[in-house]
Order: sequence, then structure tokens, then C-alpha cells
Amino acid sequence: MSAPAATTPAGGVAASEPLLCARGLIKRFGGFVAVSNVDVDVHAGHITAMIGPNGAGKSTVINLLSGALLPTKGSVTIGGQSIVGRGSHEVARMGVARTFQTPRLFDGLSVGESMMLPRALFAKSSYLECFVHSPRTRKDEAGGWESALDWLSFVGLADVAEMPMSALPVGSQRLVEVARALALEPDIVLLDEPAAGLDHTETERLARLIEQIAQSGIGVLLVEHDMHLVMSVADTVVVLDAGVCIATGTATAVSEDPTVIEAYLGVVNDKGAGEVKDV
Amino acid sequence: MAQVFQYIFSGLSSGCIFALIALGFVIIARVTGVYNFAQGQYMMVGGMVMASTHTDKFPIAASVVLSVVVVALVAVLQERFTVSIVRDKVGVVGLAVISLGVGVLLEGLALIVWGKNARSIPSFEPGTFTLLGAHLDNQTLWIWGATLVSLVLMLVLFQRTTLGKAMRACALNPTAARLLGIRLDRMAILAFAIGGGLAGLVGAIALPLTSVSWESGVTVGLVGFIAAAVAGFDRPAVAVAAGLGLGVVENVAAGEISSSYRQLFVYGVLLVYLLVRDVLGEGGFVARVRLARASGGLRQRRRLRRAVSAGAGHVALARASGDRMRREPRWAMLLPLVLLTLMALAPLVLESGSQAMSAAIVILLSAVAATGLTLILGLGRMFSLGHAGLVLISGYTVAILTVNHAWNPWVALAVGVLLAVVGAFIIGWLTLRLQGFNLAIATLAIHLILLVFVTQATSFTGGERGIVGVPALKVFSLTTESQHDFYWITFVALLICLLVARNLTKSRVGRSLRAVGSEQDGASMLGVNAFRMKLMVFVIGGAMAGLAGGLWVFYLSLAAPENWGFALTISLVTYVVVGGLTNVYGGVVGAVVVGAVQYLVTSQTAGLGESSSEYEVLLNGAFLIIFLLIFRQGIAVALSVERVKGYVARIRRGKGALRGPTEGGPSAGPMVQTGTAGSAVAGASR
Amino acid sequence: MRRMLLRGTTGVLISLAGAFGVAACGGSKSSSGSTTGSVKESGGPSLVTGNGPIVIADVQPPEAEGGFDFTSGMLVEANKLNKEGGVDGHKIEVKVFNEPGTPAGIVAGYRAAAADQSAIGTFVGDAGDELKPLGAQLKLPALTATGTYSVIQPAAPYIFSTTWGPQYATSSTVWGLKHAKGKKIALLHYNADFSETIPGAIKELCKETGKPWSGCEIVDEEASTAEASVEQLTPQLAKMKAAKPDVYYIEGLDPNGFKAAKQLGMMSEGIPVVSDQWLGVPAIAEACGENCNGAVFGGHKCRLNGSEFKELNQSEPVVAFCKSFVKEWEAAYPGKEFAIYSIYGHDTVEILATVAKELLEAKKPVTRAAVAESLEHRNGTPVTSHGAVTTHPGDPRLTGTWHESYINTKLTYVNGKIVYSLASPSEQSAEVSEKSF
Repeated sequence: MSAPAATTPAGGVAASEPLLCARGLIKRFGGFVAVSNVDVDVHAGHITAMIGPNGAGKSTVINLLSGALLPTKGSVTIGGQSIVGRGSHEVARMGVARTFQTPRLFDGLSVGESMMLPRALFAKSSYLECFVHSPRTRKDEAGGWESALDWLSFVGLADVAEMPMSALPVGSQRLVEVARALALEPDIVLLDEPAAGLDHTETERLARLIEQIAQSGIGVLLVEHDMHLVMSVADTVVVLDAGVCIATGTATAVSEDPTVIEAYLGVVNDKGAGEVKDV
Repeated sequence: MAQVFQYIFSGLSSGCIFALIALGFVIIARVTGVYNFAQGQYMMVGGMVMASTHTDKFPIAASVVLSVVVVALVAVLQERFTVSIVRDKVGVVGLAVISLGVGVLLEGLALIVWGKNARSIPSFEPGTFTLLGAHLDNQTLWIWGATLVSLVLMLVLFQRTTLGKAMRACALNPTAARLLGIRLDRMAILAFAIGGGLAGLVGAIALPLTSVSWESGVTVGLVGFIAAAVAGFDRPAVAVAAGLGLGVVENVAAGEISSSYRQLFVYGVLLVYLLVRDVLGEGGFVARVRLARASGGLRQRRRLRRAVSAGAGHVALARASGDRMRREPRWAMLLPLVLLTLMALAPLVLESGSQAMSAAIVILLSAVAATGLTLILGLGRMFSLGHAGLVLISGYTVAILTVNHAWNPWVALAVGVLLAVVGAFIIGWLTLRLQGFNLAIATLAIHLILLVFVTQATSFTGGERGIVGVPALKVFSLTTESQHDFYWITFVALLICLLVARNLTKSRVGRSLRAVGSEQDGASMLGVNAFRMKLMVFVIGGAMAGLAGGLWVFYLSLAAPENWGFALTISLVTYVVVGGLTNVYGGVVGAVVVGAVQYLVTSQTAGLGESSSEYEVLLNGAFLIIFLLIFRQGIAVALSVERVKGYVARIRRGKGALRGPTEGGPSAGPMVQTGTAGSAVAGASR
Repeated sequence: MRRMLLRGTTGVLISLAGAFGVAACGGSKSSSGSTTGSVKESGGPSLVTGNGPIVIADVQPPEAEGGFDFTSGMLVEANKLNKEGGVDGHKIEVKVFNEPGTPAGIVAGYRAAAADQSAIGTFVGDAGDELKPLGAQLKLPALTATGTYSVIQPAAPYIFSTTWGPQYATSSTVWGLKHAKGKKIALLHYNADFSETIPGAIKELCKETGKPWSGCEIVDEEASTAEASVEQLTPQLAKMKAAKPDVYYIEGLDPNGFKAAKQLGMMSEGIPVVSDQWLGVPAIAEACGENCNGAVFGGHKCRLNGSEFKELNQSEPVVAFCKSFVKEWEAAYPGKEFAIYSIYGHDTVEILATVAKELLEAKKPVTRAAVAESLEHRNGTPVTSHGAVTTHPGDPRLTGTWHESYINTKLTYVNGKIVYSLASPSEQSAEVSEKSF
């Protein structure tokens, strides 16, 4: 696969304006504060990782950024436009794609058909034409299928297009999730623990994929437990603990930060078993 | 001023009846996940037993106990024979329709055993008493007492006893309950017995103030269902309060405002309550309006296509599989094609004017409306109980325009369909965000409001007897005055509807809806606007209903409330469920099969003279139950090409058993899920 | 799969086109648009041939109030005629078409009866206005038993009635006003067919001049549904009571109305309570029981088949008829209480048999048109349960005069049994406004 020319240097802080900018995010569920005063920036071509123990609020942050949850306080803007209060489908149309911790299986649709869902945004036929199955609709459908296969090949899974998601192994399911997110042609991709349950080889494949995505100019936010993956791809790392951001910086800097080490029982240098343990 | 208390206290009594029915509904739903539409008929059976055992020799207490026991037994039988054996294989809606069948069966049995006349008995202690200026029969005390005691007992059972908690666990998490050693089947039996017993109790005790006949279970069951739905099928106290509230509102409205429109107030209040609850919630109406204004500027960003692409390899793959993309996982053609061909030939065999021909026409018209409902219920997963209301809107529009204003029939038909579309749009926009059963009652309430309106606004709509004298519609040399001509005109309409339905299902709209059905949040994140898709399919379904309604009026040359009442909604839902929700032909298949069986039953029992209607009702109920017990996902799905091939292959291999295909094949369709009490039919929250 | 779909759809469309062709060639009959009340044509072959039967159709809703009772009356009369050798040697055959009692059901049933080539006429129970345009279209004489007066007023071709209309309500109302302290009426009615007639009929009655009841008025009018419970009716009865009328009219269809009235003490205020013929139906009276004690309604003389029968003028033809018909009916249906609505079925068969006999004896073909024309020009024969049948074009009521067949009847509940008696023993005939055409 050839990739387009890199638009930004990988690593370090990007100089450009952030694509997505979240300031002062607070989320309360009743009396419980899940996220408290968190700032996140996602820059084009830049991989930002968010780590922290279980229950630190990482998934909540992704939900807030993708429009699945309404922040109690705080702002989230994309290119200057606020997304607070918009439905997740609107946020998706504004260029934010995300994957889920448990891959969405879409019972009843084949892999290829689920890949066509985001392609509906690029359809040229009107709804009225859908009712009569006009030539333009047919062209849209053929085009959608073709590009679905395109994206599947990008992650190396073109041959599973006819199968249902549930028939795939977990690793492939996650890759399909990523491919679906990419099919939306987003500017920003939010990845929610994509490496959970993957073995060493699969994680490597995933890491390369993530780098490719960033190299094409997309801004990536990666929520992860797997420190090995984080160390190898992240430009910036944000550490959350109990809903609060306790550190930000490059991967190496963060891994040596005493506050971060204190928040975890495990230490981060071992390449083999790079799992962060719970507090 | 004393009048008000008269209204309130009498309303309270009638509310007690609704409350106890609702309570039974809730208990059964909470523990077993079954929405039991035979609840009204349970009350009827209780009343009948009371009426027939109430003689001078037999003590009243014994009659009451007997009524309770008999109905509890009936309920347990229903559970054993029609629920426990199909629990895990039939979805929530299927189970509900089966219970409907049981209700009809009970009506038939009641007709046979007790005849068609209404019965009543005198009050336990004749006489009246006065309370705050209101005159009340002594029986009122018994009714109030029974309701209070029942509610207290139920609350104690569920909140304080281990048994009650075990029962609650069953529905919330059946697997965990099993692991804890709770016997689910015993709990289910108990739940049904209690639900039945409560209904039997109210049937017996309220009998002096109502009267009971074989068909008196329907209205009561309906109001009880509404009250239970307001409580989310989950909270006994709320259900009782809702039932009482409905009774009081009805009577106070009848007394203070208007007695002919009193039901309109009940349903109206209900509707307002549901919508206000939605408005005030997060993501509610107000927020939506605000956002709708704010979302300008969304489309300004144009994305550049990322050049991630096309190696030669997979282009070839794309071409090879282009055809395969047309694979239709569930739009099976065999049975529907056969049925459609038979339907096309019907006029050649059936005599114009004969009862068979009339039945065939009604089946055809129902099929058109049912196709719309298949889209709404099956593809959109919206449990709309107001479909017949859209048929009604169109029908009356056409009748009023052609009769009262002498419009051209074609223009009137177009306007009728248009009004149905507009109606569907408005109703959908207001109610589609309501979850599961709230949507069902909201749409039901709207339909019932329309019925009250057309029945009462006599000068405008002809009241009960309707509007007669609708002129004929002419297509080339065909005219709707001829039954054969009309049949073919409607048949073409059906084909058009089926074609549109197919196209819609195969298009990106259909795909999006199927995605929303299985993973709503996942679909949203891929840019699918679930609300817009659902609204669209609701409106298309409404258009089909409108088409059916307009044509219906030209067939009958009249529009009357009984054409398109609650019974039609039940029929349509039945057709769609029996035919198969996951198949776009489900509505047609169900209409033809169920309609044909009903016609056969009617014509065969006609010769039985006075007993004809008894057996007709009995057999209709029995057939409905049997259909759903055998064809659990609907006939069209069960007899699809794949399945038939599967059966044949298995028989050849000698395995014999009629298990459906497994492994990677199309899994159970959108509406088929193992039900859990209180869970909305349409599933996922926002 | 897709190809199969294409073939399938195409196949269907082709067969459809073929069918259209057949239909277009066959052509459909255009309807005659006759809207006046009289029938002119009398062509066509006789429907009674050789030794064949005289077929009379019966469109009735079996589950409705009335329902099978209509049929039972038809069968009793048909059997009686057949035992006597039939009409001119032809047996009477009753063909039943069951239909739900909805307007759509009536339409379908009448169509089916018309499509059956052999029937010379049909009985239609519970018909409404939907039947009117069909008569001219399908040309099958229909004898209806319905409370919806507009079915025959104005008249429509081929549509006749075996019943009265407003008189069922006004007869008892007149009695009530006669025995009341004033002229104010409070009324409760339901949304079944007959009900819409009641308020209108009473208002028309009150408009009449020069009568003892002139100037009466309805001071409270309440409407409800027939399945309403006592509690649901209570607000309405309460309002009626509060209006302080001189006469209560409580429609008899739903006995709960009386129970609610009793609960409010309305049955014992000394104010006349009047009702209508629904109270003559045994099941309804049974269900009402003690609550209906004292209610008065315009009832058919055959209702008085107990000891009070002797108080009627035995020389009246209808009285004699009642004596024998009730006996025949009870012999045919032993153990069952006499169904008052059977008289309509009986009348239908008797009238059509008489017409057929006249045509056969005059050697004229028994066609539907001929039957309809004969029905429009009856001159006192036959004498049915509703008197000496007299009609003319524009007045399709196959009845005599009200007094011949109806009398104000009182319902009393004695020792757990329903007893019917004359409302006022001295009154041998009910005074009533007879609307003439």
C-alpha cells in the first residue's frame, strides 16, 4: 500500500492549530464526578495517547468528545465550532470518527455492508431516488461497495467482506472497526482501547496502521492500557487518574514522571509485559 | 359543587377496575417479560363465573373465591401451553400476539359456555351511601377495598419478601437468577396465577356495577394496558395510580366538560403527559428545536479524499463480488411470489359480489396497509399502534371531499394520501423519540382520539354511521364500482408498495435502519441519523396506509369509524407478526394467510346457525396461537428459500429435526429478542 | 436471486396485463342512477321455476343484539308455510349470510345476497344509510329491521322497512308527559344506530302544535357508549338529575344506565321513567332486573304474552296473531324465552311469500323488480305482526298503524321475575305522533 506524503513530522508537539480542542471538560453522573477539568487537543497528523488506570475516565472523555455524552461543563470545538449538544451522528459528519472498546458487530449486516454505512454520507442520489432504485442510486451502491472493499483492503481484510462480523476473530474485528472509522473520511479518529485482547503480532500491525493514519494527516487520539503500544506510536501522552489530568508530555517524559509512577503499581519499562496494573 | 365529588368518587371506582387490570399486566410483565393482552378477557371470565354461580343457595364469598381460582388456573394454563414452550424462541412482540390469540380463544369459549347475552348481578349489599354529597352504591366499598388490599399485598410481596425479590430477579437477569437457584418456571407460573387472580377478583367484585358479556374484555384490557404502559410495565404502585387517574379523569371530564368527548380527554391527557415527559428530558423537544436552529454551518467543511487506495488486486475482487453484493440475506421470494400470483388470479375464480370476493378485497386492502406497517415495525423497529389511524385519516379525507364537496375522486385520493403523509410526519416527529412502549401508547392514544372525534363530530363526519355515497373512481375503462375492477386497481397499488418497500430496504436507508436496529450508538458514530431514517420510514409506511384508506373508501362507498378501529390495528399487527417482521413481504403473507383462514372459518361455521359465531371466534383464536407456535419468526421467514432448502437437505441427510439454519446465517431479526421485563421493544437508549 | 425476482415480477405483471384485457373486454355493467323511490322495470326471467324453492336471503349479524332472533322468526314462518304445502307448491328456503354488524359488513352481506341469483328478496338486520345507494345498484329488494330512520326517510329504490322509527321513542315519551308534572325531559342515549334517532324524534314531537305535549323540551341530553359501566354513566345521570326535569328518558340498551339512576335515587322520585323497545329483549331486561322496575316503553303487543294478555282487545288481528305465533315459536325453540325480535323475521317471510303467491297466481314472472314494485303498492295485505301492511311509493314502511301493534308497556320486577303489563290498564291504544309521508 502506498501512503500519501506525510504532512507533519511524527513526534513532538505539532505547531499547527488543533483540529479538536476540548477545554475544562467536567462530567458528573449524579454525585459522582467522572471527569474533572480535563483539556485535550488533537492535532492533524499527531498521535495523542490517553492513559490511566481503569475508572480514570478515559472512555468518558471519548464519549464526551464524540457527542455520545453531554458534558456537565466545558467546551469542545472542532475548527472553532462547538459540538456540545449535537448528536453523535452530527459530530461524525463534522469529521470525528471513533471506535468502541467492544467492537460493534452489527448483527444482520455483513462486514462489507457495515463498511458501507459511513459511505452513505457521500451518496449523490436523493432519498426519493432510493425509493425507486434509480440509476444514480445503483451507482452510489456500487461505488459504496467498492470503497468499502478499498478500506477493508487497507487493513488487509478484503476477503471477509461477505461474512458477518461475529464470525471474525477479535483482532480482525478491531481492524474492521478502524477501517469503518476511516471510511468516514474523518479529520479526527478517536480509538478506544483498540489493542485490548490482541496478541503481540496483532498489536504490531495495529501500531503500524495507526502510524499510517497519522501520516495521512488525520489527528489521532488513542486511549490505551498497552504501554508498549503507547510508547511506540504516541507523540503526546496525557495521563488521567480519577478523572483528573495528572501529567502531559512526550511518552518518555511521562513514563519517568514520579506522579504517574505513583498512580500505578506497575512500572513501565518492560517491553514484554507492558500492561499497566490497576490501583 | 357536590357534583364534582360524585364524578370523582364514581371515577375512582371505575379507575379501580383499570388499576387492578394494570396491576396484573405489570406483575406478569415484570416477572416473565410477557405483555399479556388476554388480561381483559381474564376479567371477563371472572365476571362470568361470578354471574353463573351467583344463586340464592351459593354463598357470595364462595363465588368470589371460585372466580379468582378459575381465572388463576386459566392464566397458568396459558403460561404452560403458550409461553413456557416458546419463551426463548419467539420475540416480545410475538409473545404479545400469542396472548392476543389466547384472549380471542377465551372469548370464543365464553360464547359457547355462557352465550352472547350480557349478565349482571345485584350488589352484595343492596343500598347506597353518601360521601361528601356523592351517592354511591354499597358495592363501591367492596371495590375500593379489594383494590387497596391487592395493592398492599403486592407491594409487600415484591418489596419485603424473598419470594418477591426472586420474582423481580427473574426478568432483570434470567441467567443470574438461574445461577442463584431460582426456578424461573415456578416464578412464571406464580406470576401468571397472580395476574390472573387479580383480574378474576376485579371481574367478580365489580360485576354488580358493570355487566359482563363475551366481548366486554376488550375495552377494559385496553385501558389497563395504557395504565400499565404509563408505569413502564414495571412499577405496581404507579400502574395502580395511573389506572385510578384514568378513571377519575374520564368521569370528571364527562361531568364537567363534555360527556360525548370524555374519552378524548383521557387519551389527550395521556398523550400530553407522555410528550411533556419527553420534552422535559435530556435531549428533549426543546433542546432539539434549539439545536435544529443552531446546526447551520454543518456542511461547510469539505473533506479531501485521502489517497489511501487502490492496488490492482482488490479492484478485481470488487468486480467479481459486485454481483454478490446483491445478496439478499432475508428477502426470500418463494412464498410471497406464490401468494402474489394466487392473489392476481383471485378475481378470475371468485364471483363478483360473493362473500369470498368481499373477503379477498378486504385482505388486499389490509395487505397494502400491512406492508407499510412491516416497514415501520420490522425495519424501523417502531412499535406503532396507530397505523389504522393513518388509514382512517386518508379514508375520511377522501369521503368528506368527494361527498360533501364534490371533488374529483382522483384529486381526493391524492389529498387523502398527502394528509396521511403529513399526519405521519407530525405524529412521527412528536413521538418517535419516545422509547418502546411509550411510543406504542402515544400512537395508540392518537388513533383513539381520532376515533372519538369522527364518532362524535356528527355534522362533520357522519358520526357512528359515517359518510355514505362516495362516488366511483375510474381508471381507464375500469371503475371501482365493479368488484373485479377494484381488485385489480388495488392489486397494482399493492405491487407498487411492495416495490417501494423492497427498494427502500435494499437502499442505504434500509441498511442504516438495520444498523440502527442492532447497534444504535455504533450506527450514529458512522454518521447515521437514526431519527431521520426512522421518521422517513414512518412517513413511507404512513403513505401506504393512506393509499389503503383512500382505496378502501372507494370500495365501500362509505367511511365509518368501525372500518378502521382498534380491531384493525390489532389485525395489522397480527398480520405483520404472523407473516414475519424481518421480511418485506411479511405484511402481505400474513394478511393473506390469516385472512384466508378467518374467511374459511367463517364460511364453514356459518351453517351452524345460532352457534356459528361461537365457533368462529374460538377457531380464530386457536389458529392465531397455532400459527405463532409453529412459525415462530413468521411464515415468510420460516418458509423462505434458504430455510426450505435447509429442511430438504436435512431430511435428505436423515436428520429430520426442523431446526432453523445456524452458523453465520441471518440471525434472528430485529424484533426477535428474549424479552426482559420493562425493556423497551425498540431497545437501545440514545 | 435478482434475475429470479425480475422474472417473477415480470411474470406477475404479464398475467396481470392479460387479466386486464379479459376484464376490459368483458366490460363492467354501468350502474343505473335511479334516485327516485319508485321502480319501473320488470324484465327478466322468473326466479321461481318448476318445482324449485322460493329463496329468501337473510343478512344478519349473529353476535349482535337481535342477531339470530331475526333468523329464528324467519324459520318459524317458513316452516309453517312449508308444512302447509308451501306457496303454490313451492317451498320457502331461507339462505343465511352472516356478517359483522358494521356498515362495511352490511354492504358485503347485501352484495353477497344480491350476487346469489336465486333470492327474490332479503332481510337485512341493523342496516344503516350505507344500504341506500346499493339498492338502486344491485336491485335486490331489502326488508330491513333497523332503528336508523334515515334508511327509509327519504326512500331509496328497493329498500323497505319492517319496523317503525321515531315512534318507539315518542310513544313512551307521550305517556311520560301525560303522567308528569311538567314538560321538561332529560335524556340519556347511546351511540348505537337507534340512538341518533331519539333526540331528533323527541324534538320533532315537541314542535307539534295543538297537542297535549306541545312545547315540551329536552333540558339535558347525555350521550354515552353502550358498554359503559355504572360508574362511567354516573356523571351523566347526575347531570340529568340536576337539570330537574319532569320526565326521564333512559335508553334501554345498557341496563347500567338504570342502575346508575337507581343509585342516585332517580327511580323513586315519583318522576316517570320512560324508555324504548330494548327493554323488551329478555336478556336486557334480565340484566336490568330490579333497577328497571317501573320503566315504561312503547312495546309490541306480542311482548305481553302472560296473563295481562287478556286485557288486550282479543278481536284485534295482531293480538290473535301474537297468540299463535308465540306458541309456534316456543314449540320450535323449547325452553327458550320468546325472542321479541323474531317478529321482524317472521314479517319478512310472510310479506315476501304473499307477494310471490300473488305473482304466481297471476301467472307473472317472479322477478326482483316485480317483487319490489308489489312491495311499493301494498293495500292492507298481508296482516303481519305490524298490522295490515300498507305502502305507496315514497313510504316504504311495510306496516299498518302504530296502534295496531304497539302499546305502552310497563316493566315490573316481581319476586325475582320480569313481568310486562300495560302501562295504564285503561289505555288500549297508545297516543303517538304518527309521521305521515
